[in-house]
Amino acid sequence: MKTRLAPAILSMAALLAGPALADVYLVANPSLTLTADEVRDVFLGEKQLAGSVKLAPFDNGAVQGEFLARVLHMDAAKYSTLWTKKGFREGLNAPGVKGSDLEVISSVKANPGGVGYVSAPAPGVTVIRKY
Amino acid sequence: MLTSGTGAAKRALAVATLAAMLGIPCAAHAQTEAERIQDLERKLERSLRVIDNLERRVRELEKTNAAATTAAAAPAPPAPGAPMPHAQEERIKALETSVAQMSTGRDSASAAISGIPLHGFADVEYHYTNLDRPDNRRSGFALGNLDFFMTPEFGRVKTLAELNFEIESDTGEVATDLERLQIGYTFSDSFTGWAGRFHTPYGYWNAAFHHGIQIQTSATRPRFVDFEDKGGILPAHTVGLWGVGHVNTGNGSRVVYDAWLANGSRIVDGVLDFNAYRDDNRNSAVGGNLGYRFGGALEGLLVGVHGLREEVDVYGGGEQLARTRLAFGGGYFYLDRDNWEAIGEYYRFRNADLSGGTGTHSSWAAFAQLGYTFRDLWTPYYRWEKANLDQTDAYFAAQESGRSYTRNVLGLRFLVNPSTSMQVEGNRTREILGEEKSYSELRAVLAIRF
Repeated sequence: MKTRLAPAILSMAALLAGPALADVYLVANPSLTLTADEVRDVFLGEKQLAGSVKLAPFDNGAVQGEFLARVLHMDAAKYSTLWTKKGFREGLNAPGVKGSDLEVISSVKANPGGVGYVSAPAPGVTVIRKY
Repeated sequence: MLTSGTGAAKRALAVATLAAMLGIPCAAHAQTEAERIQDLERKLERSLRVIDNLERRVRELEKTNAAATTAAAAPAPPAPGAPMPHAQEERIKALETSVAQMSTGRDSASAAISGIPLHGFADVEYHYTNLDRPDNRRSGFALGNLDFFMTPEFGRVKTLAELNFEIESDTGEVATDLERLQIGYTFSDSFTGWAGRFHTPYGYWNAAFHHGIQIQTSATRPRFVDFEDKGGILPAHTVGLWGVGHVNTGNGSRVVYDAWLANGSRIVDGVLDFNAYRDDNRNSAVGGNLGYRFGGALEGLLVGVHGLREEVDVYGGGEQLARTRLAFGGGYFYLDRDNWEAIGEYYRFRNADLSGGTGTHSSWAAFAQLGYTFRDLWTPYYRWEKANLDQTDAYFAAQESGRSYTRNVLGLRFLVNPSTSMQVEGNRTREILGEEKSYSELRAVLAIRF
Protein backbone atom coordinates (compact mmCIF):
# COMPACT_ATOMS: atom_id res chain seq x y z
CA MET A 1 0.00 0.00 0.00
CA LYS A 2 2.83 2.35 0.96
CA THR A 3 4.63 1.76 -2.31
CA ARG A 4 1.47 2.62 -4.25
CA LEU A 5 0.84 5.76 -2.23
CA ALA A 6 4.35 7.16 -2.45
CA PRO A 7 4.35 8.01 -6.17
CA ALA A 8 0.86 9.44 -5.89
CA ILE A 9 1.89 11.67 -2.98
CA LEU A 10 4.99 12.81 -4.85
CA SER A 11 2.91 13.60 -7.92
CA MET A 12 0.41 15.53 -5.84
CA ALA A 13 3.22 17.46 -4.16
CA ALA A 14 4.71 18.31 -7.53
CA LEU A 15 1.34 19.55 -8.73
CA LEU A 16 0.80 21.63 -5.63
CA ALA A 17 4.28 23.10 -5.91
CA GLY A 18 3.25 24.69 -9.20
CA PRO A 19 5.40 25.48 -12.20
CA ALA A 20 9.08 26.21 -11.72
CA LEU A 21 9.81 29.93 -11.51
CA ALA A 22 12.02 31.52 -14.13
CA ASP A 23 15.49 32.75 -13.24
CA VAL A 24 16.02 36.49 -13.16
CA TYR A 25 19.27 37.96 -14.47
CA LEU A 26 20.10 41.62 -13.84
CA VAL A 27 21.74 42.97 -16.98
CA ALA A 28 23.29 46.28 -17.95
CA ASN A 29 24.95 47.94 -20.87
CA PRO A 30 28.60 46.80 -21.05
CA SER A 31 29.79 50.39 -20.55
CA LEU A 32 28.30 50.44 -17.01
CA THR A 33 29.81 49.17 -13.78
CA LEU A 34 27.03 48.60 -11.29
CA THR A 35 26.47 46.33 -8.30
CA ALA A 36 23.27 44.41 -7.73
CA ASP A 37 22.35 46.78 -4.89
CA GLU A 38 22.81 49.74 -7.20
CA VAL A 39 20.57 48.15 -9.82
CA ARG A 40 17.99 47.63 -7.09
CA ASP A 41 18.27 51.34 -6.24
CA VAL A 42 17.79 52.22 -9.90
CA PHE A 43 14.46 50.37 -9.98
CA LEU A 44 13.45 51.99 -6.69
CA GLY A 45 14.12 55.47 -8.09
CA GLU A 46 17.01 56.08 -5.68
CA LYS A 47 19.76 56.10 -8.29
CA GLN A 48 19.63 58.07 -11.51
CA LEU A 49 23.26 58.40 -12.57
CA ALA A 50 26.31 56.19 -12.95
CA GLY A 51 29.13 58.69 -13.12
CA SER A 52 28.06 61.04 -15.85
CA VAL A 53 25.73 58.55 -17.53
CA LYS A 54 21.96 58.97 -17.07
CA LEU A 55 20.59 55.53 -16.24
CA ALA A 56 17.67 54.13 -18.21
CA PRO A 57 15.97 51.21 -16.46
CA PHE A 58 13.70 48.88 -18.43
CA ASP A 59 11.07 46.67 -16.83
CA ASN A 60 10.44 43.29 -18.44
CA GLY A 61 6.74 42.48 -18.44
CA ALA A 62 7.48 38.78 -19.05
CA VAL A 63 9.33 38.29 -15.75
CA GLN A 64 8.32 41.35 -13.73
CA GLY A 65 6.54 39.30 -11.08
CA GLU A 66 9.65 37.24 -10.33
CA PHE A 67 11.84 40.35 -10.36
CA LEU A 68 9.64 42.25 -7.92
CA ALA A 69 9.33 39.27 -5.57
CA ARG A 70 12.99 38.22 -5.55
CA VAL A 71 14.88 41.47 -6.01
CA LEU A 72 12.68 44.28 -4.70
CA HIS A 73 10.58 42.14 -2.31
CA MET A 74 7.27 43.75 -3.20
CA ASP A 75 4.23 43.12 -5.36
CA ALA A 76 3.09 44.92 -8.50
CA ALA A 77 0.59 47.12 -6.67
CA LYS A 78 3.19 48.41 -4.24
CA TYR A 79 5.67 48.93 -7.07
CA SER A 80 3.11 51.00 -8.96
CA THR A 81 2.33 53.10 -5.89
CA LEU A 82 6.03 53.62 -5.21
CA TRP A 83 6.57 55.07 -8.68
CA THR A 84 3.44 57.22 -8.46
CA LYS A 85 4.85 58.74 -5.26
CA LYS A 86 8.30 59.12 -6.83
CA GLY A 87 6.83 60.85 -9.84
CA PHE A 88 4.60 63.09 -7.76
CA ARG A 89 7.22 64.22 -5.25
CA GLU A 90 10.49 64.01 -7.18
CA GLY A 91 9.43 64.31 -10.81
CA LEU A 92 10.87 60.92 -11.72
CA ASN A 93 9.54 58.71 -14.49
CA ALA A 94 8.94 55.01 -13.96
CA PRO A 95 11.10 52.53 -15.94
CA GLY A 96 10.02 51.87 -19.50
CA VAL A 97 8.20 48.57 -19.87
CA LYS A 98 9.30 45.99 -22.44
CA GLY A 99 7.42 42.86 -23.35
CA SER A 100 10.16 40.25 -23.64
CA ASP A 101 13.78 39.34 -22.97
CA LEU A 102 14.67 40.17 -26.56
CA GLU A 103 13.22 43.66 -26.30
CA VAL A 104 14.97 44.34 -22.99
CA ILE A 105 18.30 43.07 -24.33
CA SER A 106 17.92 45.22 -27.44
CA SER A 107 17.12 48.35 -25.41
CA VAL A 108 19.90 47.75 -22.88
CA LYS A 109 22.39 47.24 -25.72
CA ALA A 110 21.21 50.34 -27.55
CA ASN A 111 21.25 52.67 -24.51
CA PRO A 112 24.55 53.57 -22.78
CA GLY A 113 22.68 53.79 -19.46
CA GLY A 114 20.53 50.74 -20.12
CA VAL A 115 19.66 48.49 -17.16
CA GLY A 116 17.16 45.66 -17.13
CA TYR A 117 16.39 42.10 -16.18
CA VAL A 118 15.75 38.98 -18.25
CA SER A 119 15.01 35.30 -17.79
CA ALA A 120 18.06 34.14 -19.75
CA PRO A 121 21.40 35.84 -20.38
CA ALA A 122 22.35 36.94 -23.86
CA PRO A 123 25.55 38.15 -25.52
CA GLY A 124 26.14 41.88 -25.77
CA VAL A 125 25.08 42.83 -22.20
CA THR A 126 26.75 42.50 -18.80
CA VAL A 127 25.10 40.07 -16.40
CA ILE A 128 25.33 41.63 -12.95
CA ARG A 129 23.66 38.97 -10.88
CA LYS A 130 21.36 35.96 -11.15
CA TYR A 131 18.42 35.55 -8.75
CA MET B 1 -2.48 15.24 -74.20
CA LEU B 2 -1.55 13.94 -77.69
CA THR B 3 0.31 10.64 -78.05
CA SER B 4 2.07 8.86 -80.92
CA GLY B 5 -0.60 6.10 -81.01
CA THR B 6 -3.21 8.49 -82.10
CA GLY B 7 -1.18 10.18 -84.84
CA ALA B 8 -3.63 9.57 -87.68
CA ALA B 9 -6.59 10.78 -85.76
CA LYS B 10 -4.59 13.79 -84.58
CA ARG B 11 -3.64 14.71 -88.05
CA ALA B 12 -7.21 14.37 -89.37
CA LEU B 13 -8.58 16.41 -86.52
CA ALA B 14 -5.87 19.02 -86.91
CA VAL B 15 -6.43 19.28 -90.64
CA ALA B 16 -10.17 19.71 -90.16
CA THR B 17 -9.64 22.26 -87.44
CA LEU B 18 -7.13 24.25 -89.40
CA ALA B 19 -9.33 24.16 -92.45
CA ALA B 20 -12.27 25.42 -90.49
CA MET B 21 -10.13 28.07 -88.81
CA LEU B 22 -8.57 29.29 -91.96
CA GLY B 23 -11.99 29.18 -93.68
CA ILE B 24 -10.43 28.98 -97.09
CA PRO B 25 -13.06 28.40 -99.76
CA CYS B 26 -11.98 25.81 -102.32
CA ALA B 27 -13.03 27.81 -105.29
CA ALA B 28 -11.04 30.81 -104.25
CA HIS B 29 -7.67 29.14 -104.89
CA ALA B 30 -6.01 27.88 -107.96
CA GLN B 31 -4.25 25.05 -106.02
CA THR B 32 -5.44 21.52 -106.53
CA GLU B 33 -7.06 19.63 -103.67
CA ALA B 34 -4.01 17.33 -103.27
CA GLU B 35 -1.52 20.19 -103.06
CA ARG B 36 -3.57 21.91 -100.39
CA ILE B 37 -3.70 18.78 -98.29
CA GLN B 38 0.06 18.25 -98.53
CA ASP B 39 0.67 21.87 -97.52
CA LEU B 40 -1.61 21.54 -94.50
CA GLU B 41 0.09 18.28 -93.46
CA ARG B 42 3.51 19.99 -93.42
CA LYS B 43 2.17 22.79 -91.26
CA LEU B 44 0.62 20.26 -88.94
CA GLU B 45 3.92 18.37 -88.59
CA ARG B 46 5.69 21.57 -87.53
CA SER B 47 2.96 22.37 -84.99
CA LEU B 48 3.17 18.91 -83.44
CA ARG B 49 6.95 19.23 -83.01
CA VAL B 50 6.47 22.55 -81.24
CA ILE B 51 3.84 20.99 -78.97
CA ASP B 52 6.10 18.05 -78.13
CA ASN B 53 8.96 20.39 -77.23
CA LEU B 54 6.72 22.49 -75.02
CA GLU B 55 5.44 19.36 -73.27
CA ARG B 56 8.98 18.21 -72.42
CA ARG B 57 9.88 21.65 -71.10
CA VAL B 58 6.81 21.74 -68.85
CA ARG B 59 7.70 18.34 -67.37
CA GLU B 60 11.25 19.48 -66.61
CA LEU B 61 10.05 22.64 -64.93
CA GLU B 62 7.53 20.73 -62.81
CA LYS B 63 10.24 18.38 -61.56
CA THR B 64 12.58 21.26 -60.66
CA ASN B 65 9.87 23.18 -58.82
CA ALA B 66 8.79 20.15 -56.77
CA ALA B 67 12.35 19.53 -55.62
CA ALA B 68 12.80 23.13 -54.56
CA THR B 69 9.53 23.17 -52.58
CA THR B 70 10.45 20.02 -50.67
CA ALA B 71 13.86 21.39 -49.78
CA ALA B 72 12.37 24.61 -48.44
CA ALA B 73 9.67 22.88 -46.38
CA ALA B 74 11.98 20.48 -44.58
CA PRO B 75 15.56 21.66 -44.38
CA ALA B 76 18.03 19.11 -43.21
CA PRO B 77 18.96 19.76 -39.58
CA PRO B 78 22.57 20.67 -39.05
CA ALA B 79 24.72 18.07 -37.39
CA PRO B 80 25.25 18.59 -33.64
CA GLY B 81 28.08 21.00 -33.06
CA ALA B 82 28.13 22.05 -36.68
CA PRO B 83 28.31 25.81 -37.31
CA MET B 84 25.00 27.54 -38.01
CA PRO B 85 24.30 27.84 -41.69
CA HIS B 86 25.18 31.27 -42.92
CA ALA B 87 21.68 31.97 -44.24
CA GLN B 88 20.05 31.04 -40.94
CA GLU B 89 22.50 33.19 -38.98
CA GLU B 90 21.74 36.10 -41.26
CA ARG B 91 18.02 35.65 -40.74
CA ILE B 92 18.40 35.63 -36.92
CA LYS B 93 20.54 38.76 -37.06
CA ALA B 94 17.96 40.43 -39.24
CA LEU B 95 15.23 39.44 -36.78
CA GLU B 96 17.23 40.83 -33.83
CA THR B 97 17.84 44.05 -35.70
CA SER B 98 14.16 44.30 -36.47
CA VAL B 99 13.18 43.82 -32.82
CA ALA B 100 15.78 46.36 -31.72
CA GLN B 101 14.50 48.86 -34.24
CA MET B 102 10.90 48.28 -33.17
CA SER B 103 11.85 48.70 -29.52
CA THR B 104 14.04 51.75 -30.04
CA GLY B 105 11.53 53.26 -32.38
CA ARG B 106 8.77 52.82 -29.84
CA ASP B 107 10.94 54.41 -27.11
CA SER B 108 11.72 57.46 -29.17
CA ALA B 109 8.18 57.65 -30.46
CA SER B 110 6.78 57.70 -26.94
CA ALA B 111 8.88 60.70 -26.01
CA ALA B 112 9.04 62.63 -29.24
CA ILE B 113 5.84 61.80 -31.04
CA SER B 114 3.37 60.29 -28.63
CA GLY B 115 4.03 63.04 -26.09
CA ILE B 116 4.67 63.02 -22.37
CA PRO B 117 2.84 60.56 -20.10
CA LEU B 118 0.12 62.35 -18.19
CA HIS B 119 -0.66 61.33 -14.62
CA GLY B 120 -3.12 62.63 -12.14
CA PHE B 121 -5.64 62.27 -9.36
CA ALA B 122 -9.35 62.81 -9.06
CA ASP B 123 -11.85 62.47 -6.25
CA VAL B 124 -15.49 62.99 -5.46
CA GLU B 125 -17.14 62.96 -2.06
CA TYR B 126 -20.20 63.11 0.11
CA HIS B 127 -19.76 65.47 3.04
CA TYR B 128 -21.83 66.13 6.13
CA THR B 129 -21.08 68.59 8.93
CA ASN B 130 -23.11 69.86 11.84
CA LEU B 131 -21.13 73.11 11.82
CA ASP B 132 -23.35 76.07 11.13
CA ARG B 133 -22.59 77.73 7.82
CA PRO B 134 -23.90 81.08 6.60
CA ASP B 135 -25.00 79.54 3.29
CA ASN B 136 -26.65 76.59 5.04
CA ARG B 137 -24.67 74.05 2.94
CA ARG B 138 -24.13 71.45 5.62
CA SER B 139 -24.31 68.29 3.56
CA GLY B 140 -24.29 66.96 0.04
CA PHE B 141 -22.18 65.66 -2.78
CA ALA B 142 -19.16 67.55 -3.97
CA LEU B 143 -16.36 67.35 -6.46
CA GLY B 144 -12.92 67.21 -4.98
CA ASN B 145 -9.91 67.79 -7.21
CA LEU B 146 -9.01 66.94 -10.76
CA ASP B 147 -5.26 67.11 -10.72
CA PHE B 148 -2.96 66.53 -13.69
CA PHE B 149 0.80 66.29 -13.50
CA MET B 150 3.49 65.45 -16.00
CA THR B 151 7.21 64.88 -15.69
CA PRO B 152 9.05 65.38 -18.98
CA GLU B 153 12.78 64.65 -18.86
CA PHE B 154 15.48 65.82 -21.24
CA GLY B 155 18.58 63.98 -20.13
CA ARG B 156 19.53 65.49 -16.79
CA VAL B 157 17.01 68.30 -17.13
CA LYS B 158 13.72 67.50 -15.44
CA THR B 159 10.38 69.25 -15.37
CA LEU B 160 7.35 68.84 -13.17
CA ALA B 161 4.15 70.60 -14.10
CA GLU B 162 0.89 70.18 -12.21
CA LEU B 163 -2.49 71.69 -12.98
CA ASN B 164 -5.36 71.45 -10.54
CA PHE B 165 -9.08 72.03 -10.98
CA GLU B 166 -11.40 72.27 -8.02
CA ILE B 167 -14.76 73.71 -7.04
CA GLU B 168 -14.67 76.74 -4.77
CA SER B 169 -16.64 75.85 -1.64
CA ASP B 170 -18.12 79.33 -1.25
CA THR B 171 -19.06 80.16 -4.86
CA GLY B 172 -19.35 76.77 -6.57
CA GLU B 173 -17.18 78.06 -9.39
CA VAL B 174 -14.39 76.03 -10.96
CA ALA B 175 -11.00 77.27 -9.86
CA THR B 176 -7.88 76.50 -11.88
CA ASP B 177 -4.48 76.52 -10.28
CA LEU B 178 -1.01 76.04 -11.73
CA GLU B 179 -0.19 73.96 -8.72
CA ARG B 180 3.46 73.36 -9.59
CA LEU B 181 5.83 74.38 -12.33
CA GLN B 182 9.41 73.48 -11.60
CA ILE B 183 12.42 72.91 -13.81
CA GLY B 184 15.40 71.06 -12.40
CA TYR B 185 18.81 69.67 -13.17
CA THR B 186 20.20 66.45 -11.73
CA PHE B 187 23.81 67.24 -10.84
CA SER B 188 24.26 63.89 -9.09
CA ASP B 189 22.25 61.42 -7.03
CA SER B 190 23.19 63.62 -4.08
CA PHE B 191 21.89 66.87 -5.49
CA THR B 192 19.09 67.98 -7.77
CA GLY B 193 18.40 71.68 -8.11
CA TRP B 194 14.92 72.98 -8.92
CA ALA B 195 13.60 76.42 -9.75
CA GLY B 196 9.95 77.43 -9.90
CA ARG B 197 6.86 76.72 -7.87
CA PHE B 198 6.92 73.60 -5.70
CA HIS B 199 5.28 72.01 -2.69
CA THR B 200 7.06 73.31 0.39
CA PRO B 201 9.00 70.31 1.67
CA TYR B 202 8.53 70.66 5.44
CA GLY B 203 7.61 67.55 7.37
CA TYR B 204 6.54 64.58 5.28
CA TRP B 205 2.88 65.00 4.37
CA ASN B 206 2.85 68.21 2.36
CA ALA B 207 5.31 67.19 -0.35
CA ALA B 208 4.51 63.47 -0.36
CA PHE B 209 0.71 63.54 -0.74
CA HIS B 210 -0.59 67.04 -1.34
CA HIS B 211 -3.51 66.66 -3.83
CA GLY B 212 -2.92 62.91 -4.16
CA ILE B 213 -5.78 61.67 -2.01
CA GLN B 214 -5.59 58.23 -3.61
CA ILE B 215 -2.03 57.69 -2.35
CA GLN B 216 -2.69 58.88 1.19
CA THR B 217 -4.45 56.71 3.70
CA SER B 218 -6.90 59.26 5.06
CA ALA B 219 -9.54 61.25 3.23
CA THR B 220 -8.32 64.55 4.62
CA ARG B 221 -5.08 66.31 5.46
CA PRO B 222 -4.33 67.39 9.01
CA ARG B 223 -6.00 70.76 9.26
CA PHE B 224 -3.04 72.94 10.18
CA VAL B 225 -0.97 71.60 7.25
CA ASP B 226 -3.90 71.91 4.84
CA PHE B 227 -3.75 74.30 1.88
CA GLU B 228 -3.46 78.00 2.64
CA ASP B 229 -7.12 78.69 1.75
CA LYS B 230 -8.47 75.51 3.36
CA GLY B 231 -7.45 76.00 6.97
CA GLY B 232 -3.67 75.66 6.75
CA ILE B 233 -1.45 77.99 8.73
CA LEU B 234 1.77 77.36 6.79
CA PRO B 235 2.77 78.11 3.19
CA ALA B 236 1.99 74.81 1.45
CA HIS B 237 3.45 76.17 -1.78
CA THR B 238 6.64 78.06 -2.46
CA VAL B 239 8.13 79.90 -5.43
CA GLY B 240 11.91 79.99 -5.55
CA LEU B 241 14.90 77.64 -5.53
CA TRP B 242 14.94 74.14 -4.05
CA GLY B 243 17.80 71.71 -3.60
CA VAL B 244 17.07 68.06 -2.79
CA GLY B 245 19.07 64.86 -2.61
CA HIS B 246 20.37 62.02 -0.51
CA VAL B 247 23.64 60.52 0.60
CA ASN B 248 23.99 56.77 1.09
CA THR B 249 25.39 55.75 4.44
CA GLY B 250 25.53 52.00 3.84
CA ASN B 251 23.25 49.05 4.51
CA GLY B 252 20.49 50.70 2.51
CA SER B 253 20.31 53.70 4.83
CA ARG B 254 20.60 57.24 3.58
CA VAL B 255 20.53 60.84 4.70
CA VAL B 256 17.92 62.83 2.82
CA TYR B 257 17.63 66.58 2.70
CA ASP B 258 15.75 69.55 1.23
CA ALA B 259 16.84 73.18 1.33
CA TRP B 260 14.99 76.10 -0.19
CA LEU B 261 15.31 79.83 -0.70
CA ALA B 262 12.14 81.50 -1.93
CA ASN B 263 9.64 84.32 -1.80
CA GLY B 264 8.38 84.93 1.69
CA SER B 265 4.65 84.84 2.37
CA ARG B 266 2.18 87.55 3.30
CA ILE B 267 -1.29 87.53 4.86
CA VAL B 268 -4.01 89.35 2.93
CA ASP B 269 -7.52 89.76 4.31
CA GLY B 270 -7.14 86.81 6.65
CA VAL B 271 -5.62 84.30 4.20
CA LEU B 272 -1.99 83.28 3.88
CA ASP B 273 -0.59 84.07 0.43
CA PHE B 274 2.74 82.53 -0.53
CA ASN B 275 3.55 85.25 -3.07
CA ALA B 276 3.43 83.30 -6.31
CA TYR B 277 4.37 86.44 -8.23
CA ARG B 278 7.43 88.14 -6.74
CA ASP B 279 7.94 89.04 -3.12
CA ASP B 280 6.18 91.86 -1.30
CA ASN B 281 9.20 92.46 0.91
CA ARG B 282 12.90 91.81 0.59
CA ASN B 283 13.07 89.12 3.20
CA SER B 284 13.12 85.73 1.55
CA ALA B 285 11.98 82.47 3.06
CA VAL B 286 14.74 80.06 4.06
CA GLY B 287 13.86 76.49 4.96
CA GLY B 288 15.42 73.11 5.44
CA ASN B 289 14.54 69.48 6.04
CA LEU B 290 17.08 66.87 7.11
CA GLY B 291 16.05 63.25 7.47
CA TYR B 292 17.44 59.78 7.91
CA ARG B 293 15.87 56.88 6.07
CA PHE B 294 16.78 53.61 7.71
CA GLY B 295 17.82 50.47 5.90
CA GLY B 296 18.32 46.95 7.20
CA ALA B 297 16.22 45.93 10.19
CA LEU B 298 14.50 49.32 10.36
CA GLU B 299 13.84 49.65 6.63
CA GLY B 300 10.70 51.69 6.02
CA LEU B 301 11.33 54.20 8.81
CA LEU B 302 12.15 57.84 8.13
CA VAL B 303 12.84 60.40 10.86
CA GLY B 304 13.83 64.02 10.40
CA VAL B 305 13.94 67.61 11.53
CA HIS B 306 12.72 70.67 9.67
CA GLY B 307 12.54 74.43 9.97
CA LEU B 308 11.48 77.63 8.21
CA ARG B 309 12.19 81.31 8.73
CA GLU B 310 10.74 84.30 6.91
CA GLU B 311 9.22 87.72 7.51
CA VAL B 312 5.50 87.95 6.87
CA ASP B 313 3.64 91.19 6.37
CA VAL B 314 -0.05 91.40 7.25
CA TYR B 315 -2.37 93.44 5.05
CA GLY B 316 -5.99 94.43 5.56
CA GLY B 317 -8.09 96.86 3.58
CA GLY B 318 -5.12 97.51 1.35
CA GLU B 319 -2.83 98.64 4.18
CA GLN B 320 0.05 96.93 5.91
CA LEU B 321 -1.03 96.21 9.47
CA ALA B 322 1.82 94.22 10.96
CA ARG B 323 5.07 92.40 10.32
CA THR B 324 6.05 89.13 11.96
CA ARG B 325 9.14 86.99 11.69
CA LEU B 326 7.80 83.46 11.32
CA ALA B 327 10.23 80.88 12.65
CA PHE B 328 9.47 77.25 13.34
CA GLY B 329 11.48 74.14 13.94
CA GLY B 330 10.40 70.63 14.66
CA GLY B 331 10.55 67.01 13.74
CA TYR B 332 8.67 64.29 11.92
CA PHE B 333 8.61 60.57 11.28
CA TYR B 334 7.11 58.25 8.71
CA LEU B 335 6.86 54.47 8.90
CA ASP B 336 5.70 52.16 6.12
CA ARG B 337 6.41 48.57 7.01
CA ASP B 338 4.67 45.22 7.51
CA ASN B 339 1.22 46.67 6.71
CA TRP B 340 1.68 49.43 9.31
CA GLU B 341 1.71 53.06 8.36
CA ALA B 342 2.47 55.73 10.92
CA ILE B 343 3.14 59.40 10.38
CA GLY B 344 3.70 62.28 12.78
CA GLU B 345 4.84 65.88 12.56
CA TYR B 346 5.65 68.47 15.20
CA TYR B 347 6.06 72.23 14.77
CA ARG B 348 7.35 74.61 17.43
CA PHE B 349 6.84 78.29 16.60
CA ARG B 350 8.90 81.22 17.94
CA ASN B 351 7.42 84.13 16.05
CA ALA B 352 8.75 87.65 16.65
CA ASP B 353 6.59 90.74 16.38
CA LEU B 354 8.59 93.17 14.24
CA SER B 355 6.05 95.98 14.14
CA GLY B 356 4.02 96.02 17.37
CA GLY B 357 6.77 95.45 19.92
CA THR B 358 4.97 92.61 21.68
CA GLY B 359 8.05 90.43 21.68
CA THR B 360 8.33 86.75 20.78
CA HIS B 361 5.38 84.37 20.87
CA SER B 362 5.51 80.62 21.32
CA SER B 363 3.02 78.21 19.83
CA TRP B 364 3.00 74.61 18.71
CA ALA B 365 1.07 72.20 16.51
CA ALA B 366 1.32 68.48 15.96
CA PHE B 367 -0.44 65.45 14.56
CA ALA B 368 0.05 61.70 14.60
CA GLN B 369 -1.72 59.11 12.45
CA LEU B 370 -1.65 55.33 12.63
CA GLY B 371 -3.12 52.78 10.25
CA TYR B 372 -2.92 49.05 9.61
CA THR B 373 -3.83 47.29 6.36
CA PHE B 374 -5.66 43.97 6.43
CA ARG B 375 -5.59 41.58 3.48
CA ASP B 376 -4.01 44.36 1.37
CA LEU B 377 -7.49 45.94 1.14
CA TRP B 378 -8.83 47.37 4.38
CA THR B 379 -7.02 50.07 6.36
CA PRO B 380 -8.65 51.42 9.50
CA TYR B 381 -6.83 54.49 10.77
CA TYR B 382 -6.85 57.06 13.52
CA ARG B 383 -5.37 60.55 13.63
CA TRP B 384 -4.93 63.01 16.44
CA GLU B 385 -4.28 66.69 15.74
CA LYS B 386 -3.71 69.63 18.01
CA ALA B 387 -2.71 73.26 17.44
CA ASN B 388 -1.99 75.49 20.41
CA LEU B 389 -1.58 78.90 18.81
CA ASP B 390 -0.90 82.15 20.68
CA GLN B 391 -3.65 84.56 19.69
CA THR B 392 -1.50 87.58 20.59
CA ASP B 393 0.84 86.52 17.78
CA ALA B 394 -0.08 88.65 14.74
CA TYR B 395 0.84 85.76 12.40
CA PHE B 396 -1.94 83.57 13.81
CA ALA B 397 -4.35 86.29 14.86
CA ALA B 398 -4.44 87.66 11.33
CA GLN B 399 -5.32 84.29 9.76
CA GLU B 400 -8.93 83.13 9.69
CA SER B 401 -7.69 79.60 10.34
CA GLY B 402 -5.10 80.56 12.96
CA ARG B 403 -7.10 79.26 15.90
CA SER B 404 -6.20 76.66 18.45
CA TYR B 405 -8.03 73.40 17.99
CA THR B 406 -8.05 69.71 18.74
CA ARG B 407 -9.30 67.11 16.29
CA ASN B 408 -9.75 63.36 16.41
CA VAL B 409 -10.17 61.53 13.13
CA LEU B 410 -11.30 57.95 12.61
CA GLY B 411 -11.61 56.36 9.19
CA LEU B 412 -11.55 53.28 7.02
CA ARG B 413 -9.90 53.02 3.63
CA PHE B 414 -10.84 50.31 1.14
CA LEU B 415 -8.58 49.68 -1.82
CA VAL B 416 -10.87 48.80 -4.73
CA ASN B 417 -7.82 48.21 -6.91
CA PRO B 418 -4.31 49.68 -6.91
CA SER B 419 -5.60 52.84 -8.62
CA THR B 420 -8.94 53.29 -6.84
CA SER B 421 -9.75 53.77 -3.18
CA MET B 422 -12.75 54.56 -1.01
CA GLN B 423 -12.45 56.32 2.32
CA VAL B 424 -15.11 56.78 4.94
CA GLU B 425 -13.96 59.19 7.62
CA GLY B 426 -15.43 61.01 10.55
CA ASN B 427 -13.90 63.61 12.81
CA ARG B 428 -14.73 65.59 15.90
CA THR B 429 -13.18 69.03 16.25
CA ARG B 430 -13.02 71.33 19.24
CA GLU B 431 -12.05 74.86 18.30
CA ILE B 432 -11.35 77.80 20.53
CA LEU B 433 -12.29 81.19 19.14
CA GLY B 434 -13.31 83.43 22.02
CA GLU B 435 -15.90 80.87 23.00
CA GLU B 436 -15.27 77.18 22.53
CA LYS B 437 -17.20 75.35 19.86
CA SER B 438 -17.26 71.75 18.74
CA TYR B 439 -18.48 70.18 15.56
CA SER B 440 -18.42 66.90 13.70
CA GLU B 441 -17.89 65.96 10.07
CA LEU B 442 -18.44 62.82 8.03
CA ARG B 443 -16.99 62.13 4.60
CA ALA B 444 -17.17 59.35 2.04
CA VAL B 445 -14.56 59.82 -0.67
CA LEU B 446 -13.97 57.93 -3.91
CA ALA B 447 -10.53 58.64 -5.31
CA ILE B 448 -8.52 57.46 -8.30
CA ARG B 449 -5.09 57.93 -9.73
CA PHE B 450 -3.96 57.50 -13.29
